[in-house]
Amino acid sequence: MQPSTPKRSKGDWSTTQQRRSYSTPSALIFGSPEDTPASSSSFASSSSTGTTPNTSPQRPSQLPKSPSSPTPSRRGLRGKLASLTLGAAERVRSISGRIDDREPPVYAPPAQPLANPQESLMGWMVERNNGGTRPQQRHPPPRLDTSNYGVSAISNNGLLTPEQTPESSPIQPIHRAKGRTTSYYQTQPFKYTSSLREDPFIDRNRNRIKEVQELDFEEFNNSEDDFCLSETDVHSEFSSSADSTSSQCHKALRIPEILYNILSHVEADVQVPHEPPPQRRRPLSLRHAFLIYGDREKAHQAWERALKEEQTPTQQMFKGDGALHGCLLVNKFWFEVSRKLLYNKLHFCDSQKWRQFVHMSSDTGSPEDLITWSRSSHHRSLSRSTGQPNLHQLANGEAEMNDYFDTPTKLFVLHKISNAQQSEIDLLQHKIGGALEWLEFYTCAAIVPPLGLLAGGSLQKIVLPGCTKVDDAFLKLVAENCPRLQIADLRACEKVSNEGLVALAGKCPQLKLLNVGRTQMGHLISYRGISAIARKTQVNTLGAAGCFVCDKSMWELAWYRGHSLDRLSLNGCTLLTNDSIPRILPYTSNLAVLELRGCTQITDFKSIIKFKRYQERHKREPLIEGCEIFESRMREAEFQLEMDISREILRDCVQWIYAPDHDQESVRVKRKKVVPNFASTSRLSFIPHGSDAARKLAATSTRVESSSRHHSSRPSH
Amino acid sequence: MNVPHKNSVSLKIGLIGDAQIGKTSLMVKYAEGNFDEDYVQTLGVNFMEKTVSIRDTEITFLIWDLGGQREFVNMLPLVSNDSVAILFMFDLTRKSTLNSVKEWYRQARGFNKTAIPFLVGTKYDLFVQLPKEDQEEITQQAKKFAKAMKASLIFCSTSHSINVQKIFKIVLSKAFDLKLTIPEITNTGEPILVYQGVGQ
Repeated sequence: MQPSTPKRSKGDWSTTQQRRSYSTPSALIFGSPEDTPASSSSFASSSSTGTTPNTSPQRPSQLPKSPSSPTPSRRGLRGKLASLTLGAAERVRSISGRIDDREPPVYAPPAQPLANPQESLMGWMVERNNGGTRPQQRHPPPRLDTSNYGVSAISNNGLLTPEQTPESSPIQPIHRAKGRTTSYYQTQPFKYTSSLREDPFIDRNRNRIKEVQELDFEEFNNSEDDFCLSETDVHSEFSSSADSTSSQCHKALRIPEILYNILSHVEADVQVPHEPPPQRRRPLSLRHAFLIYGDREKAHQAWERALKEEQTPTQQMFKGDGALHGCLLVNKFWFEVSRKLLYNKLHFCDSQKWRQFVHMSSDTGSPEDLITWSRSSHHRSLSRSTGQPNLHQLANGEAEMNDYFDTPTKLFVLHKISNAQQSEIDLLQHKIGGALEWLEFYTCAAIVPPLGLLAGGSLQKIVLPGCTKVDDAFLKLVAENCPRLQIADLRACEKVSNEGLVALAGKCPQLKLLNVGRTQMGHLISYRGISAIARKTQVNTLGAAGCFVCDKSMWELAWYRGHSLDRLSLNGCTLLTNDSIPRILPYTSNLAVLELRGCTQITDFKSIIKFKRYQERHKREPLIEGCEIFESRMREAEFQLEMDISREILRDCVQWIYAPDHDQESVRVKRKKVVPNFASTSRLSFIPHGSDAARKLAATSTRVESSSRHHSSRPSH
Repeated sequence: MNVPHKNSVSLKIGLIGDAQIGKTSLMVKYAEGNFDEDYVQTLGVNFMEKTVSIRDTEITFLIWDLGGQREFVNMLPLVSNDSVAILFMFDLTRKSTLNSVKEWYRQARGFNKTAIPFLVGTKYDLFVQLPKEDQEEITQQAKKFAKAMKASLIFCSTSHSINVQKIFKIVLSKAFDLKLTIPEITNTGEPILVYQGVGQ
């Protein structure tokens, strides 16, 4: 008989005990026998945390023949956890990479009582989360996995003697045991424990935690678990995986604040849809690439990459939002908590899901209800029950809309949902808005954020690239309602004019980033708008591509914002001449990116190169980008500059050679111990192609520089 | 930003030759202007840096000096690699040191084929006290060697500051192909200075 009972309630223990009697060759279960002694001894040492309530199935110290692990010293707590999520091991591998990317993990000492429940919790989440994507295995069928663990879990809770335990588990393929060892719990502990320890609210709940620590296994096991999903709760599709193991969850996990805290770490991993981080812009042609990179091979690579990018639209998959959705499925209580977290950050990059969301939210209550809907309720107890969640919807990442907005939504992002309707936004504005900090409609051409989304005064980031309906009236609204605005990305909002910028500058003094770049209607942005921004805000990144920006506004910018300027994007600002950019550079010492594509009137490259060199000497590498003409002129100017320098050097050398010999020249002398600063001598990074002498000069200076780095010797003389 | 920035050029120069012929003395003399009669054996490699400032340019000579004992030969790459010029040095009063230049040259060339070779005879002040025949013989031999090595030939005296500066000026002019019109000295008994038309 195959152990194929998919669903079990706690009453099923008798059946599990029956199943236990199938004898299986232990070697088959537990891998190579030579691993066993080492792992068992380490279990004994690492599982000394007697006070730890054992929620996970195995008690390693009593299981000398339990599956071995190559990292036995960490096996203790994590081992218990791993056994809980045994079947998830392979699945864990897929997710662990992502989780491991987070901040340097803080090692959770085994003596920390809370480490165990949290980790086993993580195991849950991971297992649930990836349940759908897991590849099918030949035997046993996937849905059996959790019940298998249920068996061992029960066996560990005193119902079975340890000697019986190994035989009790149904056959587990060896490769699974291997997969378990690679699960991240054993190698990368989370920082949950530390965050919990630091959290002030732990103090408040100390008593509760203490109580949790003192829990007895028996009591724990026998207590009625309200949070266990009964079969009626669960959509049949999920019932197989949501078996009684969920009822074994630790009491600590039933404290809403703790769970909230833990889950918020899962949520921190969720990726908000965004455009790819700014990199170097694509070269405009192969020749351009060659001018930029100076190396034929690199240029070809860059150009091919550029062509490829052009062909394939950047359709990105935003992974990572599955983790919380998985948590929704654990039980009602988890559902509550994760739902809250989900509503904290609302982001959509799929128009179908957005439609669904709008549909659900418009179903509930009349518009009046929505408007008068109270926000004060978000401190309500988390464990209060709501209506039956529709798990089928949950699985698709959707939730019902009852009063789910009881935590303020901080982030609202619509990513490339081009068919979003203004009416939909208007309908939802009061639900979502009010405490928003980040509002983004990325190329959603048809919509403008209504007043409700701007309200609350905490909005810091408005990103509306390609929202063509955004105009000055909207900016005035923003200015009135968002005094803390820092980032305003209004690319390709071609209706925005000086008027709007003046309004924004007047009311948003904290503005740091403004992008009004555009390809059409450039005449709407000119001196008046830019100078207002420069004078009244903290702007350090300005995008004014394609605008009618003149020299005067650049001077104004340099004068008021000078050394705090970080990025300037002035592509296609054809009005700019040599009277501004080359001459303001001495005042913008922190400028890191300067984009000047299509600024054909700028021909004074000597100043620009001098600026670049100066920055490079100070270990900053400003990125100055231009179009093909610009770059080729720049190379030419660089070459000329190098030739001038070479000529100067040779002139000076000759002068020195013909000067009369004298033994005491006014010179600087360094002894061996002083490591010369060769960086400062790397004057000639560009090898001129001119006279033989100049080339030789450059070659020698670079050669010497590279050589002298590795001088090591026995100093003495 | 408007602080004038000096152009700078640096050249690595290796000093190679038998023990006790005055490599370290030459380096110290040139870099610091001192001369010390006492002999201190160089263990391994010495390094000194001398910077000359002229108008807008700083010329830095990075001088590497290899101990003359055979056991330091394994440090030869340290000195010869990436050197712009290598000075093969010998003691004008000891013929054997000139003969071993052959071996030094062979070894150093193995590591660096592009360095400009110089043949430098030291202790010219003692050399002039030798009998005329000996002077003649050594001078002829040195000229022969220099020709074979395609190297400039310079006799110098560290203690009397003869031709010390000239060595480095010629190094610089050779390194940058500068036209040089310092008169050559070719007569036996005089501090030889042969550099024109060498190695082209």
